[in-house]
Amino acid sequence: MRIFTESEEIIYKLREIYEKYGYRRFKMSKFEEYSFYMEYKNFLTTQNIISFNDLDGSLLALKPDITLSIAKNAHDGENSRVYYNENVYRVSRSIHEYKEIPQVGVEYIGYVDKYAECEMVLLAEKSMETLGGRYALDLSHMGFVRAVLSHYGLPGLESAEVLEKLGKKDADGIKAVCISAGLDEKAAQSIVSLAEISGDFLSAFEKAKALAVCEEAEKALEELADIYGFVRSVDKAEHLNLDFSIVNDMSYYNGLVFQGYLDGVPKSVLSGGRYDKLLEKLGKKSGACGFALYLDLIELYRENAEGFDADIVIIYDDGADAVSLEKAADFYRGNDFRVLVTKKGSPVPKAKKIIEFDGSKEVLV
Amino acid sequence: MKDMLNVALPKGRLGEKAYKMFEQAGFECPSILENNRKLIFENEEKGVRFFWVKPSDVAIYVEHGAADVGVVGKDILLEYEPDVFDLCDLGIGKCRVAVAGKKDFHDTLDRSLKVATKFVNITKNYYSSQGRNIEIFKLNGSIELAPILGMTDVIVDIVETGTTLKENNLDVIAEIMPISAHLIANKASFRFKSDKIEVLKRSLSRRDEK
Repeated sequence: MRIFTESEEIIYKLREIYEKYGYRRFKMSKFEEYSFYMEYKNFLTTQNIISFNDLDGSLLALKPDITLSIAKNAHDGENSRVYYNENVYRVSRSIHEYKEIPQVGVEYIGYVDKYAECEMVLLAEKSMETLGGRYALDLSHMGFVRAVLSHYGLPGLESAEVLEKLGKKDADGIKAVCISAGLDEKAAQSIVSLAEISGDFLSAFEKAKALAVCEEAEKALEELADIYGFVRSVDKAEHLNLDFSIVNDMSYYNGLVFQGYLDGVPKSVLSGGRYDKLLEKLGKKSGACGFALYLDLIELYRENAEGFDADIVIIYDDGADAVSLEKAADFYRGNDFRVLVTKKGSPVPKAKKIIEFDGSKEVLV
Repeated sequence: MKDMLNVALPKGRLGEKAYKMFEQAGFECPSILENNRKLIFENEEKGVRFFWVKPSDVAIYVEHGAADVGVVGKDILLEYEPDVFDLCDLGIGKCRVAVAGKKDFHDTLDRSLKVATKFVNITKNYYSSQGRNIEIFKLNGSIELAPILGMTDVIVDIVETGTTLKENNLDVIAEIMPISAHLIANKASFRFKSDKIEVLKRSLSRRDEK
């Protein structure tokens, strides 16, 4: 008999992994000051926030995001490794209504160095594995993308446009923006090739090397290679891809970014990266790295309803003895079945097996 | 079964043209040419399954993963902004989104411009980039009727040859953007069926260069 749903089981397994790596659970209130989100709204993937007045008239919001609150509470000079399992409140794009979305995430705030990044990608890898089924974990680097764009002198406004199109692998669109910004054919082609690099890490990495046009880009690639090498040595790396279409807001994410995909789920189920710049904007000196898992997608696309109300339904007649009826039902419960007892003539629940109660205590399956 | 490439094609002439391109790229499915009411056609040997959907629904099927790839007009991509990969321009179904109005229409800028369209998003973006205040009248078909009856000043719509406009005494006032059919892919499918999708993309976009 299965008590927990698939996503509940996943949450427990994930928590076990994170605890073993020394991450502590961060439990927090569902409310945050509304003005806080207005200040950092570009960090959020949503612009719609549920707000309401507190008793003193101040404006509060139901949290649309957890990372911001964790980052706000971080102290300089401390290393904080936390994970959370909370609901966030966002607008569902497809139905354009507010939804409560269960999210699990991990954050490392403090002295984030290469080792911390490696550990974070490893945790993401292990998390994806825990979700079950075929998966892919795609890495990218905002520092690399930024270096390539600025090397060719693409202005800020156009850079933002290119980033948006890079996220869609819209090669034609990127080229058009570059040409209209006055870049020559060769420079435009180099930027376009960012959109075309994807797939298996090692072979994509070879192609990326041709784009390492400056020191900053080289450094970023080196960082990616180190992370890949680390994951390959301690775990397994066949799920790691390199894909520069994974882009996050450059004003918050400054380095490594990554996304996880599960076969059968049409959107990314894991998303994360290095976001030192958010901490900088919050006036802190710490570095930060983390990721979140969107468990609502797994519930939506992977959990199939069994289609039964119970395993066994026992139907009894008017004259049936209540005590022996209960004993018969209990016999099955003892054998790990879900049992429903229903009077004859009333609507019969859907079950794998239906038994007519004939007065005997033990009816064998 | 699992690794079939699912393709959503728009019903109608554009879809038939697109299918021909798939066929030439080695993803043929002869059963699709049979004249019947079936909705799904597959060629197991080639590992491809096609289905016909309403043109404006193609992006929805792809975004939610029911189709791995699809063929859709750029107008739909700009209007609904689905979260998909926009892999290449197929060079078919070429037309433009334009503003049209009665032949004698003159915009005086002293009040909101009344615009009828089914492309609310494109219209909003275009006029906000012009700094022009507008009132949008969302219609689902026969857009040309709105200025003729005086309900709106202009329309924003797809213009192919301009014949419909001409017959109704309307003229193109401004061109907003050129449109053509694009190959799109689901972002997760792209990761798990990348070999097939890359092959498809390469042969379809090469054809475009000719």
